[in-house]
Amino acid sequence: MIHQMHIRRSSAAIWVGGSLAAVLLNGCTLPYRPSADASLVQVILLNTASPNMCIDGNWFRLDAAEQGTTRSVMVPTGKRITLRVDDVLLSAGASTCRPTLSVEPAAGTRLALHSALAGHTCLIEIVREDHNTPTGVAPEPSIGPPQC
Amino acid sequence: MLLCSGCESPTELSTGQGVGQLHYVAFTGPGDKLTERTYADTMLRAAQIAKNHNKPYFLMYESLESAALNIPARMPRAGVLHGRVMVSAFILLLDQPAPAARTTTAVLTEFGSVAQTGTPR
Repeated sequence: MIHQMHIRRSSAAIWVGGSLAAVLLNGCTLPYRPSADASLVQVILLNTASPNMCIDGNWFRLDAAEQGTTRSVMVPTGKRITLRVDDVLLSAGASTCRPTLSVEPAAGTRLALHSALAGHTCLIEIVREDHNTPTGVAPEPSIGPPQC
Repeated sequence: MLLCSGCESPTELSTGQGVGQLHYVAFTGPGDKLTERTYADTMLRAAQIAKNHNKPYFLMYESLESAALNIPARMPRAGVLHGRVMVSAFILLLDQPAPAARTTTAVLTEFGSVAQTGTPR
């Protein structure tokens, strides 16, 4: 059940505000354990602790790895996955909203996931690294609405 | 106390984080409305990063999406929800002036006074 939800689809961002029913969010989410031969890409996390991922209808917890000041998770390529952030204000001890989007990562890319407050709702966005652009990032073309 | 007088101190969420050529700046704190000081904290931090890298100019982006599309903004993005305020931005450091670029020293001067006095110069 979702209430007070607003979604704006654009080239690189999906907005979802409000709250989700606890039954969807709590409890025993298993960590994602890819097979040894799985094709994976790295997702850099910005203001995001450990996002959850839904693939083939099942939710998993993505445990972040830290290298210096960079935190990241690995996600599979070639399939549409739904990513959800449960901790937009991770350092403030407050979980105010749980924005969600879907993406189909392509092999050989590196993505960046950011969540924040924006206006009176939450923002989740994902882009891909692209060293040919001035900012080093480019729109991720596969972004779509949540699939789970 | 930058975000809420008499309440808990604001927290910087972003120390050292970035992606691509971008640095990430974000602060959060208690409150239910945005103030001059809310923005000043983030603007000052952005300018301090530029100064620390000896960059006289920087571009500011409200989000990763706007950075990906290279659409700079004058101010960071702000949000208020459930008694929390958050201000965040991505910055691109520059050696040369560019359209919409902020001047590092000017931002330090302008927003330093806001942080100290609560009112802009």
